[in-house]
Amino acid sequence: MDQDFFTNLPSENIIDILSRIPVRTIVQCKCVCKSWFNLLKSGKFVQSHLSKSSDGLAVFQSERSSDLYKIYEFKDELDLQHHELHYNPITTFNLPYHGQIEGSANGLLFLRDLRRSPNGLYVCNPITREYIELHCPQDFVYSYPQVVTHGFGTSKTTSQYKVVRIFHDCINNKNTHQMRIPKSECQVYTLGTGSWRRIELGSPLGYSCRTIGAFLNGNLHWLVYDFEGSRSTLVSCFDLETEIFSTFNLPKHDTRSLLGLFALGDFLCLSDNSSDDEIVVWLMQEYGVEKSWTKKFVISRSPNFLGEYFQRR
Amino acid sequence: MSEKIVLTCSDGTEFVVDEAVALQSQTLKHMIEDGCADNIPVPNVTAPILAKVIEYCKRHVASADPNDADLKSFYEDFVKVDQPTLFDLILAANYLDIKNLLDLTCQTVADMIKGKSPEEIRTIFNIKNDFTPEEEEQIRKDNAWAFE
Repeated sequence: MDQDFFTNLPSENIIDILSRIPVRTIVQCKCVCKSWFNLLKSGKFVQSHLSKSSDGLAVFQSERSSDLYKIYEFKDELDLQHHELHYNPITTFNLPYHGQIEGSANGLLFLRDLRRSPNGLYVCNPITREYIELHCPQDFVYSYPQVVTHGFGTSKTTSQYKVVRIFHDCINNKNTHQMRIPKSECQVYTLGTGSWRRIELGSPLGYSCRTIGAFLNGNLHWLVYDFEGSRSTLVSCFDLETEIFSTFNLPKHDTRSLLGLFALGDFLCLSDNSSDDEIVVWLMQEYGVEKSWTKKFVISRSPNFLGEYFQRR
Repeated sequence: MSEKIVLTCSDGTEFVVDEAVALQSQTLKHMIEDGCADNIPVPNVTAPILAKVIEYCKRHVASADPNDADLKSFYEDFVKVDQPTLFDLILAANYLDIKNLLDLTCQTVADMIKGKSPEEIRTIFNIKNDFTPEEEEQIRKDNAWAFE
């Protein structure tokens, strides 16, 4: 009598087994039977698979007639002899809307469609192609020189996915060349709740609409300019659990620097693009400890790249 | 002179092993540390399975060097067993908390699933398809890209 041995296995073992198989097969496994279908949809499976799968890169390719999303899988083979890497995407797809990838956290992507006003905001699972649209109220409409930036991440203990929106006015006094922020506000959307909540922003800081919050350690980080206080560039840090803003300092830098803030593995990093000869990357060795900013990499620019501004994701 | 531990399996058969071998199992390790070292009952595991687990642990105590080519071929041969044995090994490794044995056996099952279609998977593992044709069709439609 042939038996289905999976019925005797505790779900944690089935999850262990299924998280070891490639994504395409996993999705096909959804139709093996109902218990597998339910298991593959469970949060436990998602977590287990995330911890076992290799890192991926999502690329948004926008051409005039069509948009394409591609997911590449990174394998751990470092071949320094061959610099022209040809990766095959593990999956390529398009979605029924146009949205550039602005952020990612725990396997989900946050997308923004700038062609719509208010912007179309979406959270998408690139593997299952499921997505939701975050409905934005009409007063989310903004125009230059007002600044809007977002952040996307999960809270540390409750693991809730949240989208953060920061908006502020920006008035440049033409005579004194001083910037002022008469109005700033922040809203948070917790996935599953269907609505935005207002959050206290604290002291007004100047954000940039060209960057999105770097997600690390359950917090979001933005480079901000403290117009009204220290008149220097700082890191604005938003705790996704407590929903409180705080700030901390950067390593010493030229105030005219072209800086970029990003998360690299488990560390917060700052890239300094101001020099013509090199790009310097600082790493915060101990999270939250200002003294631990360490100059980690110096990338010398080859002549071809002089004058360009690099953005790293 | 190493300490000996006696393990009694589900049907009463006793296995005498070196302490180092038993310590490969976190479950047994806790029991040994708690002082019940004389005779440890392992009621969830049958004699043939416990014998295989002990064989695995003995080999592991001898050498756990991942670069050992002999060890690799030992692992390959070790999992060349029928399905009932393989799944019983997973259950035993889970109960006895032997991480690398669990990894080996789960990976073996995963390798049997990799790249197979749902029909093939059902056949290999005797899984009953409890979806209606319409339900299954809907899942395939919702995930069309994976079935191309």
